[in-house]
Amino acid sequence: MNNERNKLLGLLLAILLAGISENTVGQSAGRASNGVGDTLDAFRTPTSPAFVLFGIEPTSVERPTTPRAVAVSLLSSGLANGVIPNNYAIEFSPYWLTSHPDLTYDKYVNATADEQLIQSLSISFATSKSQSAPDSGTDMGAGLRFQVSPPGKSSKLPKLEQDLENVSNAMLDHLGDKKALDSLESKRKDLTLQMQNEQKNRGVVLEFAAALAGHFPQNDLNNGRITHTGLWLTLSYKPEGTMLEFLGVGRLLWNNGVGGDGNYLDAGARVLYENDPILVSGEFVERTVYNTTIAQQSSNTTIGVITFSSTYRASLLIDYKIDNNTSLEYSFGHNFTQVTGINNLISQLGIKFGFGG
Amino acid sequence: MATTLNTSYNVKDANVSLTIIIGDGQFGSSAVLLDSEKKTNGHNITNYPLGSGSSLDGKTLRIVTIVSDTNPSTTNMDVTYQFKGGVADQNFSLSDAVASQGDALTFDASFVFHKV
Repeated sequence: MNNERNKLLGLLLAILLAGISENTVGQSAGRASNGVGDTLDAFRTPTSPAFVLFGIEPTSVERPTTPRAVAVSLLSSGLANGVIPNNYAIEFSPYWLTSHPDLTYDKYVNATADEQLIQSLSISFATSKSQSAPDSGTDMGAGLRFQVSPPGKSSKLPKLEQDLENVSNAMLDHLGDKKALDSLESKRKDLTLQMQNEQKNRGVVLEFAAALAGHFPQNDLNNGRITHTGLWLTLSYKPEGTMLEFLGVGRLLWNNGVGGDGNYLDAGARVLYENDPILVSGEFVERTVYNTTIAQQSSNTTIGVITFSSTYRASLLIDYKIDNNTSLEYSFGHNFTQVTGINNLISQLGIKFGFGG
Repeated sequence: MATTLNTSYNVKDANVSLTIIIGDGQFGSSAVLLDSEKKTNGHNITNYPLGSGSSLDGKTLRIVTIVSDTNPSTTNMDVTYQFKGGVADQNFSLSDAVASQGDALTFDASFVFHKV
């Protein structure tokens, strides 16, 4: 009954929005195609900055969990012998490559900012056969990422801890009783996964990522040059007990004259309100495009010129969940001017379908 | 399948205490049994008094710990058993790793007390 009502409401909303939209349903596919008109999410701190800077999604990423596995991976890739592999991707967290017998649960969930920085640090590295250059070179990228938040834990954790302790104690009381243990195991696992999830909810979270990418013609390590540099900063805050989320994002992208994208400095913010089945998000991104040129003014004078231009993107997004697999999305606002030219209006209506599960 | 340890701890007349440290940021709970008699259980067992060395002589302390993979950053698990008050303070440890996120492991350690 409730499901039917949601579907009917969704259909009504679709008709209403279609009436005021300049575009038609299905045109939203162009939104992310050029990589510039993306929503604020595209500027968030990436999980694997080395891959993002490259613009690649490796089909196989090695994620070793021990120092030995890191060594084996590097050796088998050929890098340790000075050979640049064509397609290789690795990502690992140095802190978690070894065991920490003294790191109790309480110390971990109450970690200070500097402890979190070390614990969350992850390193990514990737190589890929060059797609754009005329030679048979290789592109290589390396990046790092970490996050920090104020010490403290989610207010939901103490109850989950108590429940997990009670279930674990009950299991210890029934060690020889397989039927009882099987029954308790599903509760234990459910609580464990809830605790994993709740540990990520620390209120204010600051994430930082940096990456470098370079091109190596003829696979010669001595003949390479840096082609892209990226810095990302994301500050998010989700007040407990509210349906609001605040997000601030900064991104610096330097392309070193490679490609036509120029160099970007993006700064943006978003406020999100989510009250199932409705999600409303308002966001603003200020973009500064800058280019540096060196000009010879006279025989002994050289001047550097930096040119700036700026534009912005401001949009409002409304997402209505029709059912678990289908939602209707409408966005309206102003897009970056230099990308879309005169037509910088955003007015898009789309239906998102989920398959499987 | 449990990860096991069978060993001994030398005691004197003095009181002996036990601390159980569950590492790698994971959450666990332990049951402590002395000659099959349950003495205590729970998540936090710190400086738990086991009794005098004389009263412990020849007895077996069994500690069963269920550790859940609550730490999303690693699947490693470590349990350290710290004994104080014996001939020498001594640490014993067990290590293992779960196969997948959210799983649990049982650590089963037995200590026979010998008075010297």
